[in-house]
Amino acid sequence: MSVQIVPILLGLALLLIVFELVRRGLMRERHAVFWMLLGIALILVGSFPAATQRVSSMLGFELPSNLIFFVSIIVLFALALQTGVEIAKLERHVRTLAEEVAILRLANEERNAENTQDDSS
Amino acid sequence: MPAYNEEESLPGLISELNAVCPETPLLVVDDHSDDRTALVARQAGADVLKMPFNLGVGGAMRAGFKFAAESGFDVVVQLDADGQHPPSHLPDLLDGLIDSDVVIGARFAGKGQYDVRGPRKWAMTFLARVMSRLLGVRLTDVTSGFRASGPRAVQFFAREYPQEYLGDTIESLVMAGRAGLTIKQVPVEMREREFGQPSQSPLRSAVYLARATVALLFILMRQSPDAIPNDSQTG
Repeated sequence: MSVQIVPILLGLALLLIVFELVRRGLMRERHAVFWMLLGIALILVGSFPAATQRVSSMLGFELPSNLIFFVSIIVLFALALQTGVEIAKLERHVRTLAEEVAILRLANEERNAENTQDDSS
Repeated sequence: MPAYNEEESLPGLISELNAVCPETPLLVVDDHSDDRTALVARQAGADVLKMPFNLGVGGAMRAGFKFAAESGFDVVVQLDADGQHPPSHLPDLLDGLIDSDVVIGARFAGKGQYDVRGPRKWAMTFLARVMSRLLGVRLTDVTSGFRASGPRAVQFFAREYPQEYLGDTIESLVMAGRAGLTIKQVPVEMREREFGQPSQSPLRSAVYLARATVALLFILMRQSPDAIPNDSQTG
């Protein structure tokens, strides 16, 4: 069986895109590693269609593409969950910063008020 | 001194620093410790930057450098808060700034005996060799956080200080080198941690080597930051 060109091209495109994002400092390592592994997996799946066929029938899937879709969906679920966790962490940080700014602002105003009082007395 | 939960080592270290360089302002960057790091540091006489949440070493370092740059400092020495970097070596580091933007206090360069072996040793040797080739200068210890930065380096690190794994050591050097800063090392002897135990099982060392290699690959992928002009402000 020949190679499946679409997953290979997709995998390569993914690797190139992630490489460029890392190069420009737009993506953190831990995310980049994840996407790169995914890209490599895609290339492997496309390069060895017979093995993919074997694995998918072994696992009870009627078509190899079903297995690929299934795995992709699981991966995307996990990714979405992970992103939710990271957003929650960022929200905690933002909340902390908001509190600190507000408190600093008040402390600053009070200090300014004290200084003007000292000046005029 | 970036610090995370170092209430035990800091008082002694700060006294030592005050003895070695009494006129020098000291800054502890408290990376949101759970213990009394900030309190004991302040009591010992250092200024303290209390980070509102944990940023990691890279985040703490940039905050410290930003403060230094904004306060008008031309020279910054960074050292670990756990006491492994002896203040007695400060003159050696500072002397090196005469002809270099960054001076690393390096192990494995002739001073001191170190019991590092196995995967961790291979990792450090491998990294040192790659970095030496990249930067064009012989380096033996690229994960050392004992460094002195001159005026150009202070301005640079106030803008750019990586937060990734090993970014605070290796990547910061690569970025500095790419931005046109000169780097060199001087041999130092480091001390054992007085409190706490760094665990070095073979598995952990192997993981360290793997992570370091991946980190290095990413570092090599990244674009060069803007170069620092040669006539950047001097003191």
